[in-house]
Amino acid sequence: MSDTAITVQNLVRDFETVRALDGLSLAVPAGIVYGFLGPNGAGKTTTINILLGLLEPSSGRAEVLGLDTATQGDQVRARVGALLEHTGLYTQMSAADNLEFYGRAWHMPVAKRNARTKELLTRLGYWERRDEKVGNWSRGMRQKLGIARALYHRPQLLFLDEPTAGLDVMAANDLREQLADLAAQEGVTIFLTTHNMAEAERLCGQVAVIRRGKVVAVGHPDELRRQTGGPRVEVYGRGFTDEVLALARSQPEVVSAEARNGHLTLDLQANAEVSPLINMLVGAGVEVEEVRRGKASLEDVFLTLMEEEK
Amino acid sequence: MADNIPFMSDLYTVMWKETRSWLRYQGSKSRTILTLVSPLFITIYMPWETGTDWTEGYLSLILAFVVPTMIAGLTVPDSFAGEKERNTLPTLLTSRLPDRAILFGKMLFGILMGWTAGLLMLVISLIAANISYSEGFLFYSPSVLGAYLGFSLLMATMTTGAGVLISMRSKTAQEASQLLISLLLMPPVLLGLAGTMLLRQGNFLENVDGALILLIAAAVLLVATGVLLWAAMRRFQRSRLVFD
Repeated sequence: MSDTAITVQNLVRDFETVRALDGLSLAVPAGIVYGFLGPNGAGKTTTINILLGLLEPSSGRAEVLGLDTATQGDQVRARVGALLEHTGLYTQMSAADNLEFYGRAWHMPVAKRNARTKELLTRLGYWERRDEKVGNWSRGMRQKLGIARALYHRPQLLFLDEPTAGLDVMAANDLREQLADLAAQEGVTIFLTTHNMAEAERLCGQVAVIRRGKVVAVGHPDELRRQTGGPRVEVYGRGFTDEVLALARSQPEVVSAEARNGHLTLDLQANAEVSPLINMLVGAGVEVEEVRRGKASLEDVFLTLMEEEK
Repeated sequence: MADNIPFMSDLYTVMWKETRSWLRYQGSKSRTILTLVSPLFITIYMPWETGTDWTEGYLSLILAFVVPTMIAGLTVPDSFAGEKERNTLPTLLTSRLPDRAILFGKMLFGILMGWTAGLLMLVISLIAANISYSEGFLFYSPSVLGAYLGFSLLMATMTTGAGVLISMRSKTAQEASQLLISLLLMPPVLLGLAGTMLLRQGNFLENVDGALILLIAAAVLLVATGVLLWAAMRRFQRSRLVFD
């Protein structure tokens, strides 16, 4: 298998007067979970539709598993799996029948279908409930079955569009764990769109941030944090007055300073020294109890990138 | 030839799913059974009363027009517009199933449902005619049987073709079904009204060649069905459906 699962070069897609994709370029390495992040209307769904060969680009080129999506869409769809906004499960059919249908669609022989259905439903803990109508299941259970459905034919590449959207915290966490396990066991490349930055941080080996149809940042979450967000210091204590805040903000190595919930958060320039700043705060009358060094979260990076674009 | 084997397998897969869905969904079964109850008056009462006229005349063709239209008119919108309504269409489009296999698999299911219901009513009406007729066993004349089989198949196919087009533009299966059935039942109702008016003009029917009228009707239906199928094939394409 090639080292690159998806290659997108200068992709443009226009819808009448709206330009949904504006010169998008990507290279998704094989075998990783690749996060595709962006606000609503950034062009994520259009990109997935093009990568699945459902839409033709206005210009540019997209290759999935070495196949041109504009001319070889059928072959692309034969090799990939997808869980889009909705699970796509037939609620009046049983869990086993839903899997069986997609196994038949991929021309899997009967023996393989039976074994795969048992394997996946057992792994999810649903084997005993295989004959129940999925319409009676909870949203979290259906979402997990949707992922099993998308993985059923052992695709080389899996597209997941907001897989944890609308789930409660427990169900979302459970799904994330299952997803990480499944991805590792199946050895599949995952192209994941999500609004949940913690999810992207936890699951993704690489992320691309897209805005207005263009990639604005790409890299490992740690790399993006280093590039976009500098070190962060949280100072716990008392005496964070307006004067102290103004003093902190006036320092050249301080990017931002915010006091909330009894602590001061300082975002610093890369390579900034922390101890002189703490000495300065103490000198200004702050009673320091604890100092924590940290990094900006992916969410901070995302918000910074969106702000920069504005 | 080798290319046709996967296509036939895909066609069968789509039909398997449609059948499975229909069998497991209580609402679909109940609606179909209720729809079959409504023409029972024609199916039982008329052959009971008319006997040999039912099996040897063209009266039974009423069922060939009404039953397949009603059943296919319920099944096809549920299969096409229902797939959109239940948000299962986008996932189906991401599968490796070709557009044509999805389209023809669903259409074939609708046609078979409509046609089978038509044939079932034909058998029930034959039983009713035989129960009331005491002078031997009645069976349809070859021309009546042939006309019935042909017209019921044509009506089921035409309804299915129209159903695909209407479903693609409807938000819900119910909306599509209502529009489809009212559109397709309108021509027979108008023809019935026209026939009644002509009957009042005198012995009109005595001068009319029934076989010729049926032949013309079959030709018109055949052309209409062909046009609808062609339009359905053009409309049912992934690149268009993805925007629905």
